[in-house]
Amino acid sequence: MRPRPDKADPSACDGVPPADRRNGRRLMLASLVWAIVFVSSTWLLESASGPTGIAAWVIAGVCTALGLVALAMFRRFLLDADELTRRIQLEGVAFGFGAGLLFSLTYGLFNDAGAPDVSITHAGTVLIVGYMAGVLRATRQYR
Amino acid sequence: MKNRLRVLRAEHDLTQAALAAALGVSRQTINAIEVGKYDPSLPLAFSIAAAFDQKIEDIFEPDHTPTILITHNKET
Repeated sequence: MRPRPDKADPSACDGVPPADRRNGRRLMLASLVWAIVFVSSTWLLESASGPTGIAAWVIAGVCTALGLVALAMFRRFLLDADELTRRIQLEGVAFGFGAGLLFSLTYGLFNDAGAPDVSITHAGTVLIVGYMAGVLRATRQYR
Repeated sequence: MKNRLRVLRAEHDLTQAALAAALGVSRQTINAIEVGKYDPSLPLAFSIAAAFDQKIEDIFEPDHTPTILITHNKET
């Protein structure tokens, strides 16, 4: 066998390529920061004594910018990822997107039938839960 | 697709993690290939073959042999 694995390489311990681990850490950090800012921004803007006018727009803009940073981190993670990880993520994204789309398009029917009104952000929640379920399913499938 | 990866790895006394590190992929990828749950991309298959100094077809065997034979047309 030509290439010799570096026995001192810590990646040999858990079998995760160093780039995947590094990009995964960055993605988690960016996602966590965005999630905290999103929840805080929502709470601030929806509170009765919350900021209005230009300050409200700035808060919404900062939250969106941090979301774009997290999105860029996710793209970097996918581009550098090990090919099986990429396949698993693709299945997760596909399942999440499908679940979110199905929910947003068909909930109206249930709403007409008497189901309670729900916010548009619920489609985002369904998308995220669907993505996580898809990743979990694919990870178990290839185990 | 069947493969001899597990046999080759054992012959070279390599763990899945060590082979994964040498090829720049995850241990899960090596395991999924070995158990036949995942077919590697062509670049990874070439890397595996080169790592063990073998041809791809000596390591990987398709489940179905292609039945279409493309012949060269001398008139065109």
